[in-house]
Amino acid sequence: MNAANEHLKDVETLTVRVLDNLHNQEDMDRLSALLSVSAEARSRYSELVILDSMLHWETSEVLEFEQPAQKTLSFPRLPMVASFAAAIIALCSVWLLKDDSSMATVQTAINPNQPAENAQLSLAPQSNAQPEEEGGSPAFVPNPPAPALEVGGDSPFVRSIATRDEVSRGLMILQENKSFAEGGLVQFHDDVVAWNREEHVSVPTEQGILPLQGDRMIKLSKLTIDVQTQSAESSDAIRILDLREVIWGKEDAGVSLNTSVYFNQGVGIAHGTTEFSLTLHAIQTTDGANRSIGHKESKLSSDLNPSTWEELNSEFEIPKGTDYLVVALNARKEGTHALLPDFGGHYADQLSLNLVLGDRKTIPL
Amino acid sequence: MSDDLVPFDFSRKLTALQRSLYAYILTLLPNRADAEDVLQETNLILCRKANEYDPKGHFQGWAFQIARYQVMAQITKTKRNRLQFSTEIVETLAAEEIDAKDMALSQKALQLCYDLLPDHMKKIARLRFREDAQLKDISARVGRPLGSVSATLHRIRINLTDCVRKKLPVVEAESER
Repeated sequence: MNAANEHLKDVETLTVRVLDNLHNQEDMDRLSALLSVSAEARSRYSELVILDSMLHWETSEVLEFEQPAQKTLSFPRLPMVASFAAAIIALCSVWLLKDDSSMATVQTAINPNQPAENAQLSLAPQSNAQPEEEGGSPAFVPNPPAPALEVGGDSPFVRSIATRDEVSRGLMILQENKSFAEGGLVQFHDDVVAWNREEHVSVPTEQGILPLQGDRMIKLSKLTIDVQTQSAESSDAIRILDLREVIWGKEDAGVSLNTSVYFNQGVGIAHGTTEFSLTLHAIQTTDGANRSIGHKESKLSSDLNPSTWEELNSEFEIPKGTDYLVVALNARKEGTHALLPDFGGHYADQLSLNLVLGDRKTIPL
Repeated sequence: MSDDLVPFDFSRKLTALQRSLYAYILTLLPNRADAEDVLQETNLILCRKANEYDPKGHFQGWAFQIARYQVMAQITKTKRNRLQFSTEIVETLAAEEIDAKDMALSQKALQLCYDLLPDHMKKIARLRFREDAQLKDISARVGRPLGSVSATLHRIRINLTDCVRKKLPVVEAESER
């Protein structure tokens, strides 16, 4: 073997040591010396590092599409590009949103300097807020816009226009006593009617995450990035409960909702824990408007182990005058890692709701 | 146009450049966590400077230049507690060409080459590159000595780079059809 080849072998060995974080100062000095004198060495070094970047980049996304039965790993390109495109467009679109006067109230809501107690929103649903009714798919839901939803507090749910629009639609489904609607199921538990979206947002095993029980779990929406606050979050309304029949006249004795849910996150390039939360909003309908008259957000921080699920329990005293209860699940990341694409996925499972009436009667929902 | 507006065309170009931008940053700063930090800082700066970009100019050159500044800033910031290249070496490496088209072709070739790896190599590659597992964790999970895992990863990289180099002319010819 000639000297040039030996040098290239050295470059390979040292580069791999650096990439695997096994190097010391001596390795770094030796590699630097080789790279500074030889174009061939630099070319080989670049080749190895670029390969590493492609392997890391591609495999971060590809397993999302890998089925359990598949044994081989391939590299589909389009999903990767599409996901990253979405992330970058979301990242840049913060600047676009800033000048959109129609979004002014939302900008106020996500202003971190605004006191949470004052973050009161009153937004009529946008005309394009129900994409599932468009495009010729069967729709059982009427077209007129749902009444405005007014919610208070400071949570991913409050900040998500799409989720609040979904809740407005769900409330309209319950108010009009619909039995069917796209995007969820109308269910009956004793005298409680529920608009349940759980099945609609559930997925089988993916990203190496197994459901805690059964063969499906809730997949939370992709996180939306907010560059200014260096955060990313998502919110999904899972249930809307119509309590008008069941708690009428029972408020004086106290009515509460006990909740339990498990959360988990997949492995992605955005490291770090995720703050998961469950938000409850008590809604009162008067004069055609749906207003939140009480809310609660319970939170936990996930661990980084995709094989374990973290449990979150909460209890909510339902305020007098409540007509509906909205249950939403949220995920939030903060810091610089929040700006990376959300490849890992965020999941919930075993959402359990128990309505406890004053006479200690419990209705599982 | 407001100072804050980011044209859609700019977002599209930036999105298309992400893979090459990450590779370029990793070449200068061969530590994944640091490279990811610099990538996102670079993206932020590029978005903020969107209105300074001349659509007739060379987008990749401009973006890479900003990335290089960010790498330099990162090196200065972490100088005392990281094993990394000197700024002189970074300047030398920064002159190496990374072409987005070549990256796309290499990626196609990599798809072909990856499938040729034996299963035990795929398993280790998956742990290292997808799950970002450290070598000692991989060693525990596959039940093989650390040195053996390290050697296997070395072989995976060499095999794949050699294979990609051989497949590139074929992939390039196919893409020109």
